[in-house]
Amino acid sequence: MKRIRMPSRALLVMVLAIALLPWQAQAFEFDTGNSDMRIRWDNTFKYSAAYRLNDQSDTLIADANYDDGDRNFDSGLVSNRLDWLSEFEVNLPKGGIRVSGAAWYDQIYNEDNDNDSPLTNNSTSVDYNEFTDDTKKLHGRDVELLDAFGYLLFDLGDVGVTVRAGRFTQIYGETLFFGGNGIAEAQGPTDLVKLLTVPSSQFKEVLRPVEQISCDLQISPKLSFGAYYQLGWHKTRIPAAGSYLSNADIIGDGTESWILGPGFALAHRGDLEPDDQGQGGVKLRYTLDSVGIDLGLYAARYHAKAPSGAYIDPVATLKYRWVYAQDIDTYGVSATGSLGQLNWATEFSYRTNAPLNSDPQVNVGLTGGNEENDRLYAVGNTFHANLNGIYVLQANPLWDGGAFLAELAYNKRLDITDNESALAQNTTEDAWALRMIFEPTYFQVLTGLDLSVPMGVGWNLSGRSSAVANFNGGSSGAGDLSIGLKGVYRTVWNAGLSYVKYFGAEDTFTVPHNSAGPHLSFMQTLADRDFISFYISRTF
Amino acid sequence: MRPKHTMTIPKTLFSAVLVLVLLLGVQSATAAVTAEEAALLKTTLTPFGAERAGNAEGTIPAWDGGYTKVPAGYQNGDHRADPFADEKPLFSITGKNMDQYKDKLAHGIQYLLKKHPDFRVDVYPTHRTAAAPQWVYDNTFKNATRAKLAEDGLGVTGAFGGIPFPITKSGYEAMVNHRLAWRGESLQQPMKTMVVTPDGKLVMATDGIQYFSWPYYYKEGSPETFDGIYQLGQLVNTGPAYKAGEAILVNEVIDESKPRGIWQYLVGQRRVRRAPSISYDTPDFVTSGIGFADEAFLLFGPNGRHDFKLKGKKEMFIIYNGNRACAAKFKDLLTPNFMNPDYVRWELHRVYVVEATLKEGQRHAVPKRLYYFDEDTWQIMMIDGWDANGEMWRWSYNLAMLAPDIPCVTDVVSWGTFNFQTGSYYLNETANESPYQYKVMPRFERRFFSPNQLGRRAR
Repeated sequence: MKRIRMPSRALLVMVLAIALLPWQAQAFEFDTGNSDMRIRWDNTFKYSAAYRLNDQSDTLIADANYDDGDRNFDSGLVSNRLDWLSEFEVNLPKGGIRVSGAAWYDQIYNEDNDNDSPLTNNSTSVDYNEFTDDTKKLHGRDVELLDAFGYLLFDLGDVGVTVRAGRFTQIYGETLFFGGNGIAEAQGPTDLVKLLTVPSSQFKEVLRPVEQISCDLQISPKLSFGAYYQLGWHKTRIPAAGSYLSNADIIGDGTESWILGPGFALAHRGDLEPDDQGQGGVKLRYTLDSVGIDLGLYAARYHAKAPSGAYIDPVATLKYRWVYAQDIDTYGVSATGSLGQLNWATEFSYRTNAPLNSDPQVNVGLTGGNEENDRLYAVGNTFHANLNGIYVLQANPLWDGGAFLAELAYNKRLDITDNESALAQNTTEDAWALRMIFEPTYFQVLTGLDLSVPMGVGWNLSGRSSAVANFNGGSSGAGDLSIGLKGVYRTVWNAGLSYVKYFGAEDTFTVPHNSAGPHLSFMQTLADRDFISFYISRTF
Repeated sequence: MRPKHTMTIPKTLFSAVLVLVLLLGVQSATAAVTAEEAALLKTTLTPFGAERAGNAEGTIPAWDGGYTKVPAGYQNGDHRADPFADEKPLFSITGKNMDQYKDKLAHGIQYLLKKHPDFRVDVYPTHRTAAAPQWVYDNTFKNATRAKLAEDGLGVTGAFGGIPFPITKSGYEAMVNHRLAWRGESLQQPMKTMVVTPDGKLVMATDGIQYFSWPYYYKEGSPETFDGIYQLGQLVNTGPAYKAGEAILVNEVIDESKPRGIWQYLVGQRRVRRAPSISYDTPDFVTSGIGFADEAFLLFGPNGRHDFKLKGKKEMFIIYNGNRACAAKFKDLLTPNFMNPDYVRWELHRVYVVEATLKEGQRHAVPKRLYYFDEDTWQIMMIDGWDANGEMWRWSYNLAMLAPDIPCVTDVVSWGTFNFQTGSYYLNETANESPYQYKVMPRFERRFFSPNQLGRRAR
């Protein structure tokens, strides 16, 4: 029997906010009495729920370190959540500010869970059937600041200058889905929780802000130059240990132990994070009017946003830690153009000093680091290519309109410059992945209601990537399918229903099970996690 | 039927032209008119090639230079007053008496009159208010003899700063004339898209600011310096909330064989991306698919899937000098099923009729259309559209706002489409209930319309 707890303060605040809003308003725009100054405050409320369809697969709960996310949820409701996104803006002709924040509450993560396996549970601070505080926070209730920046527009002679400073998102390159395989990897962390919950999210929807300063110069109508320097480093948000789509209990927020045998577990030690300083990049963009193609040239230095390796010490400290690589360099080119209703884009990039997908490393004393002389994960040079297209559907008897989006991604390990033996045993030199969404639209199905039917597929065509960890979900020859129904009612209410299915041969994240020398499996770790989800949202 | 103006050419002149043509050898079909023909632009024709005289019945007056009187106290960007506000309708057309006016009514309007007994067309005295600066007339005069239609009919060379084909020989020329019609040079307008659903509910689908600039009308330019990008446009969305900050940029090219420039600003990425060319019968998602991409602004993007035949010129009732409608409150104007007739001013004008039929081997949801061009402005005033079964399906319109300060009559401020199959309609790019309207701006810097600057003003 689950204990029902009192709703948290976050939830009460949200309920109150909804009750107090002007329900008639389209959006909250202040009348400043000055047509040059626009102030607006938009609030989006979203209710969502997800329902697990299948029980746990025996294979996927066979390893003590990869079973909590699975065991914590029997088939049934796995999310029952309220989200609040608040955006405030002041825009003037020569500049402005923007501040946004989010708050959420998920009933499921604020209650006990369904775990019935005390011996394989990796939580040490709470009972085996409770979520750790960090997991509860990330998935269950929190408030966070997103954007907080100001911008200025001015001219220097004939050059138009835009300067932004603060906390904001931006990306370079032409990525549609595979930011991790593109130049975009350098510009900021992503929200993998969101990406996994809504599998065919576009990359733009999952970016997370970073403290930085950027400058764009419009040198001529065809030529522009941009540069940024970051003052903060943030990790990519991955599912917290024990959350529904977490496939490893030993990584992410809320991870507390690494079980090595019955009654023997390593404790988690603070991860080795990169420096806040040292990330920046430049770009040059040129429009070739005669053929209608935009070209881009990029160079950036960045730190890894997802862990580059795990160090485990079963001898001295009895601890494990995750480590993030730093000072990776990337150089890229991009091109985009249109062919009739199709917009196509492609980008190629080359990375040096890049962490390669590595197996966990035993490191007595946890002396390993992320500097050139003390790192233990494999490092090398890699090549990355993304090719994507957005095709606008024309009306025909089957649909009224809509879009088809697809991206093909490829990466290759060119050479290994450091710690060759750490390279994950099962990796291949090359890897290919594909993701697409076909979304026909039906207008005015009922008065004021437009519907669309997004159908998505993500598929790792071949290879087990050396160059990108968890490339397109990480499973080889496997992937995910989704089909949904999305509706917009009177341009105000948005709602959707979707079904997500994971396909491909299943196994835990590392194999063999409960082994002292684990290797990345590249198998489908979410095979038993198919779910349906629903959301409804409205902006005020 | 030949265009009426050619019938007014004296026989001797016509013979002279014929001789000249023979002397010069066989001219290509895309050639401009002769100097003699062009000279008519200063006599029997208006500078834009319309018939200067009124009609025999006196229901259409002669063109006397248009309406350029700016009201006292007018400030740039004010909502333009209806200068004919005191006038009463001469008569009203309803479903009951429509038969006697049938040949002067668009098919779409006939449909509305038949379907809705309470719909009416209030006809007011005709005012030929269209005007343009003298330099635009001068350029138009030069264009008459120098402009050449592109080989495929989808473009023009040798034209600048005026109507390219004031004396029009083909439907293709008429389409190009609309694209290059005079609407001012650089303007800014708060815009909303208002959709009226079949059950009569009013929905705001877009709120934003639209910037226009027509490099084709940069006064100091010439055919030699013109780079073929005739219109620059930028739309920054401010609503509805979930679209706020999105922006679209277009660099429209007059030669359709050249790539079209269209970009989109994506808020979440603070990045500009080249967008798929939204064109032809792609449903306009902004209006819930009521309108098609090529019906926006009465003509938007390429039009290579149809053949265009100039059927001639005739007198028709069109919405004209629609300033009252452009300043009305939405709830007053956008009533269920049709716009409130009390606010819509109809006048009798001569229009060129161009028939669009689907080209062999091409596909388009609207295989047949009739386009109606105002003789005084060359702007498309209405479009009738039929579906593949020949059923009357859609009717597009614009409110033909008079802006004496520019001076011009403009179609880009308020236009829309009725979809008879669904019973819905919309009004787009409209500044009703906004603090200002179609404001004349100092020329924007060219880079203002370059893709990398698109996100500057957006979020």
